[in-house]
Amino acid sequence: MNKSLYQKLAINNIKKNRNTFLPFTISNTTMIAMFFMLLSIRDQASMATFFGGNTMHTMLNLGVWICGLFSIGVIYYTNGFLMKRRKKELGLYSILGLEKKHIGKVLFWEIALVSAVSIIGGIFVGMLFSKLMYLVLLNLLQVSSNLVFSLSIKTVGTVVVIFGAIFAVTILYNNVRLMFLKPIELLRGSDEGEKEPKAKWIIAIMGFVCLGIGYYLALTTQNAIAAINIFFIAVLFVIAGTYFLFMSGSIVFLKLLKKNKNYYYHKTHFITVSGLMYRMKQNAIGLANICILSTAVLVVLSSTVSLYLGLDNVMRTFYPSDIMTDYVYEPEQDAIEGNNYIYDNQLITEVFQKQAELNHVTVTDAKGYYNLSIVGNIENNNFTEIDSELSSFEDIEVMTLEDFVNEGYIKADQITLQDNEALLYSRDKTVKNMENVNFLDSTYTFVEGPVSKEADNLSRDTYTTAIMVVKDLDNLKDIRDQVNAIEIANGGEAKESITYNYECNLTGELTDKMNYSNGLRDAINNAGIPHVATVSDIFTTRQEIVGLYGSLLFIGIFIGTMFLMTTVLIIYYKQISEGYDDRRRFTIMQNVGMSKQEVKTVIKNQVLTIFFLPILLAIVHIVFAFDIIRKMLALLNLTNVTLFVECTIGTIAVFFIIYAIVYILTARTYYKIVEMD
Amino acid sequence: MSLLSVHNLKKVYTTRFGGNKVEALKNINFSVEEGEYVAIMGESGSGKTTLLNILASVDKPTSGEVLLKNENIVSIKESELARFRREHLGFVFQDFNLLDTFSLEDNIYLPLVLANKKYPEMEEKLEGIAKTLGISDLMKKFPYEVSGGQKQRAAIARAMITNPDIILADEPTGALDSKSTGDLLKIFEKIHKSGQTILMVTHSVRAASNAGRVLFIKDGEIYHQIYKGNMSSDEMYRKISDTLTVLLAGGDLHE
Repeated sequence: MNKSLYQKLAINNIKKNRNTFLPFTISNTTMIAMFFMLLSIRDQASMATFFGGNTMHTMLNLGVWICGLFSIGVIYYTNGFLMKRRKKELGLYSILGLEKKHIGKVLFWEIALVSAVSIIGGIFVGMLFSKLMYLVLLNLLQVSSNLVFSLSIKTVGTVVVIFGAIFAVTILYNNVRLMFLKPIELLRGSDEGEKEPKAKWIIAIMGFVCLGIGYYLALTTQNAIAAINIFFIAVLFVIAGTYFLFMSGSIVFLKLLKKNKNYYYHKTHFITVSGLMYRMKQNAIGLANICILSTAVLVVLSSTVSLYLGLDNVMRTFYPSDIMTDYVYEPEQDAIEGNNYIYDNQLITEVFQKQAELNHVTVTDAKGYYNLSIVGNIENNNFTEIDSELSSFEDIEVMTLEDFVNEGYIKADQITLQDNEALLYSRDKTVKNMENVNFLDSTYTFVEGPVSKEADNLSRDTYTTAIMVVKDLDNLKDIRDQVNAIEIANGGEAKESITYNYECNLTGELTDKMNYSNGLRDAINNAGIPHVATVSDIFTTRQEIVGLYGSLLFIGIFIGTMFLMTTVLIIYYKQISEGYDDRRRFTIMQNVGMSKQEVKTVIKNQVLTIFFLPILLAIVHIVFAFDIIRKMLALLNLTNVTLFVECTIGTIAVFFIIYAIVYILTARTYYKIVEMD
Repeated sequence: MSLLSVHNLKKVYTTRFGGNKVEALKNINFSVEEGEYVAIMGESGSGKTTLLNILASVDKPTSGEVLLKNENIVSIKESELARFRREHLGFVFQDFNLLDTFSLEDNIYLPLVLANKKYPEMEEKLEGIAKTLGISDLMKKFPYEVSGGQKQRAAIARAMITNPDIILADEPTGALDSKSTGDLLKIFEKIHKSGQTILMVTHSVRAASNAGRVLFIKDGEIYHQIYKGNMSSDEMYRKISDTLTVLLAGGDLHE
């Protein structure tokens, strides 16, 4: 036999089996393209030097590995499916007189052709999109880049070698399997009857119990820090529950339906219920896997998307302004040294402006104010030292009326404060309703005033419970002394001090802004402004966090896409192979008087259930996990619940739409297979 | 008036790329009376299966009509066909065509379930039929747990449970061993005696010799027919054999 015959046979086979070969080729191409993209982006990123680049490189490297290992798994699975599907065909060949080595050659050419197309196609698609993906990544990382993106021959080589090897192993594997098959086994279809699955009540009940425990743990966790550990345990319970339920719960449920004779003996229920029973037996583990992986992807995607989108919010809780400086106000110390220094807004503003001109940026929203943070408990209106258990405490920001008015939280003519009077602003009700607060030997009476809602911005972090506004700097000093006295009376140290803060936002190029920040401390010192404590800017931290979250999101979307594709591919293959098995059954049913319309309805019910059961359970999982994930995100300072809700719904919606499209395609192909005469 | 009558039935297959036309049925005319037991014999490719498919309303003829109780089944709308098959026809196949995801009982219920019958009514019907066919004890078993003869009996039960006007059997003994064939033919005789009309397509002389009348089909035409009348099955057997010999030799049988 000559060479070209094998090739012709192989091409013919691929054409004839395009229902299975086409998805195989497409999925291989997509995976190779994705691998190529990740690889070239990783290599590109390792050359680039920008903030967050390091984090990104690590993440991308991880992504390359996951992508590669995943590809191997998927190729192994889909190839196994192809081989199984074609057992009969290969058996026929051997009956027709082809020896195993001849069949082996045909198999070799088939996979060789498909892999050549996949690798070439994958690299081509990868080349087309890798620059786009790189730009998407840079965009996510919020790095403006004029970097030249170049594709390297090395990347192409790596992809060819890796996937070439994977396919070579596949061919080898197929041939080894072929060697051990007897022709009669090849010929025999999978027509042998299969026992009806048994209902295992105990496992089904265990499934419900595990799921219940998992959900209960997720719902009842109050403490955010405990949430992390409990979340892990809850996840284990839910995973176990999911497997049990798919394995046994589904069958128990169907058996119950079957027992109800009035329900069961109904034209659509009858066929759907019995069909599903066998379906569930064969597919339980697969469906449970899909359910758990979908849940994982949805959780990871929705939280990374919300972390990424909520980034500015989070950053602003740490850095209300781009540039933050503070200075320790130490009038007593200054007095000893003979310079009674009062922080001068004017002087600092000048320094900031000069620095801005030097670095080609503009200063906006500049403001300076004094503040004093006091932390302790308030019992019966007495301010006491914080108790050692830290279970609950008040963190009160004290500031002067002048600064409060300057920042526009209240108008100057709307309020006047006397000594020992204070304006209290808080979202917390217990603090709000207090009439006065007693320190060691002075009492501040609270007065009411029309404070603007904007004052919420002053609660810098989630811990600040109240803002207390007093008449002037002397009152501020008084409170500081009082609190320090309380601490000393309790055997502690006088550690409270008043700080002067000066902060502003910058507009301009990022590099200019960073240069501004880097030279700021020297500029302040040179201007002779004393007691500089910290000079910090939002940019560096922000860049690092954007780098982390951005690459997390990028990898998340990449792997998520890949996973979604695999899931639907597996379901597609499962449905198609079942379609072939079901063909005979539906022909019989049509012969005994089932109409085409009824066949369609039954098929729709079955495919729909198999497709959407895992996704629906995944959504239920997410609904129950929502609260505990929200608490964990709050630890990362993401407190915007609306954003998280939106991101979760959005992710689920996108996932669902793609899934639904594949469902429609699958149901159509399935119906065609079943209907074929 | 005949239960089933076929007039000028013609079926032409056209190969996919136009051109060649194959006449599977040329001009078929015959009728079946109520309560008759008719066998149709013929070689492979003679058009038996095409004829049966048309009678079963699975296939449409090129021209001609098939009247079942004066209703022309050729002109029944596609959407009505399923209901029509369910209500008027019963099928028995060579390879049983039982669904292995159902117990025998559920397999037999299938046409009734498709007809939206209530469970107690179905149960009642099944009891009598299962008893007649001697499969009452097997009802909870699955097809892969019983023998070929038992499967075919279940298939007959499924065909009978709707009280069809006619049972169409396609090589019902084709997949059975000799003993099961004997049992099965006895069952056919029994249900025929109870008044059931049966039309059977078969290769087997033994099966055909049980029928009241045998039609021979050759090259798409009814070629000959034999009435059993008062003949014993053995005599009938011989007569059929002779006819087949002549048929194969290509001789002329019109006496």
